[in-house]
Amino acid sequence: MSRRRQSDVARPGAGPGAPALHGRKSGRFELRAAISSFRYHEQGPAVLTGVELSFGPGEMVVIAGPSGSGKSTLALALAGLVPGRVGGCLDGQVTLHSGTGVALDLTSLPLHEAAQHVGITFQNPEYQLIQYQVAAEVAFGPENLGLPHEEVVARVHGALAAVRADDLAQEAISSLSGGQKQRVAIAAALAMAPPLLVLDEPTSDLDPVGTQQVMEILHELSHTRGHGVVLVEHKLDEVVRYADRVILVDGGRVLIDEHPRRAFLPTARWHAAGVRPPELVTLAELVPGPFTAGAPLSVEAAAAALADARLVLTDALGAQVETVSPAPAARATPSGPPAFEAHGLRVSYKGKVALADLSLRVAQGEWLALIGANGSGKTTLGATLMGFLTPDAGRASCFGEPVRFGRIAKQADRVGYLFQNVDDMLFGASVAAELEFTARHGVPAGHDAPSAAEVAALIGLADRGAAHPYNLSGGERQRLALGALLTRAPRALILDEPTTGLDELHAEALFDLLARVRTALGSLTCVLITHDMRLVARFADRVVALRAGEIVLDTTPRRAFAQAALLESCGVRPPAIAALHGRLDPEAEEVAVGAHELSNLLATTRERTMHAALR
Amino acid sequence: MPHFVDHLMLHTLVGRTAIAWAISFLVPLIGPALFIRFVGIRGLRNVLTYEPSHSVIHRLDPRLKLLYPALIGVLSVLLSWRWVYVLFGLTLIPWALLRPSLVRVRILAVIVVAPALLSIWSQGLYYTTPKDHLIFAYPITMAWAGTAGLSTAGLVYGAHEAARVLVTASAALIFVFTTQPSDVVWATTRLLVAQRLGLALSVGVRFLPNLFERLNMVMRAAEVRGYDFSRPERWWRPRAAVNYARRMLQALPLLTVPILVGSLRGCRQMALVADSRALGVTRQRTTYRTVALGLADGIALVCGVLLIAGTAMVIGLGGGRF
Repeated sequence: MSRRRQSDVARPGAGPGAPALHGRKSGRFELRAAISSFRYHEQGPAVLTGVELSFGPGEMVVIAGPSGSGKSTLALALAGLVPGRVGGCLDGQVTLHSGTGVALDLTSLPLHEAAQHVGITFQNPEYQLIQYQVAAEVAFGPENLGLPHEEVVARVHGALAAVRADDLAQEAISSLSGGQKQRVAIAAALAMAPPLLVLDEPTSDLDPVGTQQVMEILHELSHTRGHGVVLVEHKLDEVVRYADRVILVDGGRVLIDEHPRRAFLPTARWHAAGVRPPELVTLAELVPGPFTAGAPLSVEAAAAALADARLVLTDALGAQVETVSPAPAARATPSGPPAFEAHGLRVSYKGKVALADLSLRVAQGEWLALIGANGSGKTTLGATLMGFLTPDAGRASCFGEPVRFGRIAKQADRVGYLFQNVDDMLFGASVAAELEFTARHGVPAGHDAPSAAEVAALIGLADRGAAHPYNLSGGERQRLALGALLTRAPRALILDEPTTGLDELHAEALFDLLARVRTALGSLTCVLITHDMRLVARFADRVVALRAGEIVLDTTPRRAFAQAALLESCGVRPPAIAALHGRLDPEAEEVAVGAHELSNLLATTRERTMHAALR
Repeated sequence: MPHFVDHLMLHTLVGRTAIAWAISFLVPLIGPALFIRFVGIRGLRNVLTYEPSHSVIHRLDPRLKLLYPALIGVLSVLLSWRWVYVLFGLTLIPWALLRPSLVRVRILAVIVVAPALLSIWSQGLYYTTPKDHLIFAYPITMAWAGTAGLSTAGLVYGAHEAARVLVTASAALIFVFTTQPSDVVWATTRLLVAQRLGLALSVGVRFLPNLFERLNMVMRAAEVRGYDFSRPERWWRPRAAVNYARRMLQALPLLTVPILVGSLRGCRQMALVADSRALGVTRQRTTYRTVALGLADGIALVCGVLLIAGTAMVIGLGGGRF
């Protein structure tokens, strides 16, 4: 275990450039990570190998990689948490060099001192917030440092202002949304006045608008206030536009460290690592002509590049460009007998309306996506249809029978409900025991349920029967939980955020599983509660968007994605390609949802333009 | 006919054995039955958690609220049981000012009254001497129970003990329901209790609802997988209640693993966060919040002083316990 003593110890609140609050610029610093290897156990495999990185002020760096690639370990190392706090064998060092030439070895510093140089926040804000009230949470660190009262107050106000949460100071933590909690967690880290922030998947539980808010704040922290920001993320589509550098980590090694306009091309390197590059980059690879300056990072940039390219084409041929939309598909209207019906559902929590006289019909065999911001009522609707909640007014029925509150085991005879946190659903000591749970507790009468072995094969875990569920990866646990539901042969499924926290490989594996399930059980009804627009685009027959407990949109995915402004008001953003299509053709009633599709359309546009010119 | 029933139940071995069984086994079920009926597992999230409000009790200095249950506890030990009931009556005044929600009142009633009833029952059966008057003497068939029967002296002694349970619970729950966890830390720190202890208390109160929420979630997940936790519709029937209790007990190992794993993961992260926020690195911890005593605090202080003086006077007049 390689550990060096620090050459200097920072005084509380006196890290290089600290504090960068009140709009002041953070000072000069450089964080250097030179890690030959890091292992969690002496005989274990190296989790990090040959990492040479440096980070400076005013820079926002995105670290991407598949699950298990070592990117979260790298984040812990950058924050000085390994090997001292997390444990393991480190060969190398992480040093912070200030503008005055002082170099601190973060791996040797006590955690509270390291936290004044590099702040870290984690994926789940719930366990990072240990006080009851927002101001008390942010003040907790400065209070513990024994700073003067005036300094504590100044840091609390400065940190909350930096994350645009001044108005939340007196709120109870438990009353905050996921995005607000994450902002408070960032503020609490900022109150320790670190010049560099490391964030491990801070947006994984957030809706697209919440994600954008957090990203804008991080962008402001780096570009206006001079903090260094290092972000570990899966959601490249949503974050890459804010990045100054993108790093791809796989197998514990840094494979790519480039400006985002260059980092993703060719995309084969990313696909090989199991990371899906942003859709706009894929488009740039398919249609390279307009993007000679580099891959587009935002819809606006892509639209501008395409508009420029179209202009050249139009000028050259002297013809009017005709925008082509995909062939309009008939709106999916529920037909056949209903699987779920809701009439005038009203649900409220502590005086706040979660569902406002909502009526909905889901036909048998239909795959419906419920989308909307956090707190819009999606999960409440799913929970009411399952019988978890009792409505204040209205009624719900499932396959013609009324849904009775609390009679969940009975409802589960017909409907499987996949929770957002699948760890709550796994009770067995092995994969096989998990899949046999249903057999032990009774398969509903009259159901032709598949055997545990059949389901294990379906979910791709046939060879992992003896493995403990907690030794599986997150994606495998997700598939196991879904498989466990399938052993009851449900007639309908309600899936609550099934892709949250999954990397591309595991999300694809889940998509494949859903496709197999859909093929195998043609009559299966499915309600998808999700922020993942890829899931919506790929599987939903119909999209219902909720806002403040009311349905504001009920149509097919392609038509829904064409209404970007309406979706934005619901806290949802269409996929980048759909947004680009909508920007290119604001009148389009339906839009493309994938890069290949749009690239075909663009080609069609050019061909049609040429045909029109030749005519 | 009524005469025959009287005779059968009170003057035959079979009847008296049946009554003794009912006293021994049905009375203890009152607590769980009340709990199932009025609280349930899902109601646990409302137990021992802060309830936001703008009442005068909420606005009191948290240090005073922290001292209040300690003071009441000490006074209840010093006073004789009759005066402890008077003290219990006085502790209801803050509740009247507080006006808690109906949900809380229901839970309060169950978690305070059920143990008090059980205390009276257990002492009634087991705080007996051969000279005591027995309300109901157990027949020979119940000799294995180790009691001669239900005694008047035992019931009275149980009522004495119950008084102290009631008064302490009433005062402590006022503190818990009306004090924000952050104020708990602040008050404990100000009253020179260890910082880490204050934080542990705060974290406990902050995450207790989360724990119950998670328990609720895991139970739902188990139900989705086919396990039946639904409350019996005819809950007053012993068999239904026993079956429900059996199902709950059998599920304990099932529910424990996900909750334990989730909690341990959360604790690890919380410890990292607390350390990175410099918990315990200085003895002179400063505070963001400053509290100045107000009129209500002054009145509360005067009430406390009057209570102490009144207790001293009562003890002086022979109302003390010792």
